[in-house]
Amino acid sequence: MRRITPGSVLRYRAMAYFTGVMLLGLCVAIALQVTKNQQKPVEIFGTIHGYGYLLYLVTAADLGWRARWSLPKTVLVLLAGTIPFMSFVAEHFVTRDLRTSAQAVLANPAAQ
Amino acid sequence: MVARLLVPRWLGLHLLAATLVATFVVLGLWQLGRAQAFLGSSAHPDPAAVALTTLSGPAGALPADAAGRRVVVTGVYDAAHGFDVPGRTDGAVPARTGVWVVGLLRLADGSGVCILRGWTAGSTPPAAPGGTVVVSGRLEPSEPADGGFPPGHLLPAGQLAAVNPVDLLATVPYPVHDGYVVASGQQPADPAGLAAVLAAGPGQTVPGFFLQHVGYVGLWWLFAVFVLAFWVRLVRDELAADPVVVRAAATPRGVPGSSQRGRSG
Repeated sequence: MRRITPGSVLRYRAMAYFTGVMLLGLCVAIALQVTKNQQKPVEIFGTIHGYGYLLYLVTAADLGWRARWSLPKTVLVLLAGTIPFMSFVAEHFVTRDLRTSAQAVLANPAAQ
Repeated sequence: MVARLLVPRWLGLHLLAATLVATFVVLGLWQLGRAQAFLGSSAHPDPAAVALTTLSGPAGALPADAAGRRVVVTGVYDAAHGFDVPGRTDGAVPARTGVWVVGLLRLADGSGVCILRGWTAGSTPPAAPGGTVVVSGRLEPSEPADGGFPPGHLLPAGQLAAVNPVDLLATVPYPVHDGYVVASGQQPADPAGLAAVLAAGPGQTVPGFFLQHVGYVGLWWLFAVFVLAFWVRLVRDELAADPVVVRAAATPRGVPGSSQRGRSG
């Protein structure tokens, strides 16, 4: 069913935090690679962030489909997982918007 | 119904999806090649030491298959043209920062080759020993000439940014081999007592580890699957949309996907 469920929101939020943290870890790893010539951290965080981002894409696209986001909004949220800190920002606005619309539905169920 | 998917904005979306899928598939193939190259390099043989001059000459670039080979070279250190490379760490944990001590060894034919004699934490690196020496070690490709230092970075006299004969062109009056030898031993022994630097063996130039490359192969192809699935979802939504509502909601500047907004679920 095309309906926003608590699970779909939770999955998206969890992955937004996970990719965000892993991306910051990857940034630190890249700094270590450049300054200390250490290769392992980039290899490890790069792979973890890569697969984490894939799960983020799936959960965000699923939530966007359920919440009937426009295509540009969906794409922006999807790309947010590749820019440091942006997945946190996107998650903040997505959750706020969902709360706002949920309150509107509660106040006026007929509108849905 | 299908005609709705053939208007310009949908055609653009089809093209974008196809481009992304093709790009991700190609990137996956690229990582697959890297994984295979990595496997191939790990299985690379490590031939016994040979004379440096059979692998490298004073003119031309170092052949790719000579990198990492074990070599022996006989010559006399040129006391006037040794140098140090600052900002290098040793193999210890935690790593200590010191300098690489590089000597320039004159061969019988008059050419020179850089010998990475070793690493030291000391601020006044010891001079190269005099007399004929026989150095054994591994032949490595020249480092990038800037050594990672920013352009225009000035180093004290006697220091160079990297082990690269290009940096010696201005000061050394004889030809110098491309690449350098990482010394693992010397006869008679180097009295300086420097810490030996570990050198990579043949073919270990593909960075990363095997699972990383294999992991990225799967990742790129899964990205392609995701784009395909996303595209299928958009098309199915468009086809399933009520034509009357779509016509009413569509605007000339609308974008695919936006036509479903406001419909009841």
